[in-house]
Amino acid sequence: MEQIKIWPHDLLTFANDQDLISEENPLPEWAKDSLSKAKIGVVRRGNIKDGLIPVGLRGYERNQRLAGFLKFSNVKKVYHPSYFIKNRSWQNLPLDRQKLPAFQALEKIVPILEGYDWGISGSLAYEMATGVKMVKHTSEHSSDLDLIMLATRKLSHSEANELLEKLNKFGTHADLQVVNGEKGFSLEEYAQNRDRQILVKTASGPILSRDPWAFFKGKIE
Amino acid sequence: MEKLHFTYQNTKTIEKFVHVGVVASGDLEVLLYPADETTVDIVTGSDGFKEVWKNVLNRFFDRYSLKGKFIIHDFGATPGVVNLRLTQAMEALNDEE
Repeated sequence: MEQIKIWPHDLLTFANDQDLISEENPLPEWAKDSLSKAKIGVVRRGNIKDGLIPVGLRGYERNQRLAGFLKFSNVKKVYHPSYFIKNRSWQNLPLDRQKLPAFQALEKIVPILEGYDWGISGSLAYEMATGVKMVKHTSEHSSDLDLIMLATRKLSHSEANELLEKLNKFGTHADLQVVNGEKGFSLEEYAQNRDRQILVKTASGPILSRDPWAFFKGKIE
Repeated sequence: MEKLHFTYQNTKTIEKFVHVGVVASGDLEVLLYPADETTVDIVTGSDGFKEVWKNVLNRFFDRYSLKGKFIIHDFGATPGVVNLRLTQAMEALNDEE
């Protein structure tokens, strides 16, 4: 597996419960339950040390998150966020799941993002990778579209606003993170242009940046 | 969904309203209003982290004793992100428009 580049938001599958290295032992009940349905973790931001990839396990509830590590050698399959778009993976889900507003919205935004290098993470990606029902549509909470877009070209504030407006027309909140390697920022925060600085997540923690696009290129802001 | 409420005896009066952060997974928004007392009201989708919130807030207010009404909408932010958003709100107070 060493040749394959692994980035935050990728989903990694593994074969055995014990492959997940966790500080919590024994695992909480929800985590055991989650592993019994699907052995899959999402790559967290953080440096890969000694061949250990930082991953998170998730359960159905939003407070059901567990940080752990996976060895490179135990990774069976890597799903990049773009995988689900290229394969139109939602079409493999049962019809009642495809009808959920979040999946309907996903299908509708595909033409809008034509030409961008993008993908999806969060509960939708999890459900498409595993078949486990993870996307919510209840009175209390509906799943967002957690979109990941590579920072291939700089958008102006107005271009960012226009894009977000189009993506948010389908009744599901589209949350778009612009990424470059381990770094990422919210396009919505950039588009709002409310503050002099915006938050950029990095492998060693979040920082504030005046120009996240320049920061991505390694220039002094 | 959980609602948390904290009060602090802070001293530094603030002059204006500031709004930082976004509604996005792993993030939060902070609305800060001038007020005579310091209150922090948090709505979070991630239940069961009251102690973590208390620690982050204690640490921040030990350094910056901002007096005001804080409204926080949390979407599963890490403590590092929470601390940086609070710092950003503090810096926005000092920015000239």
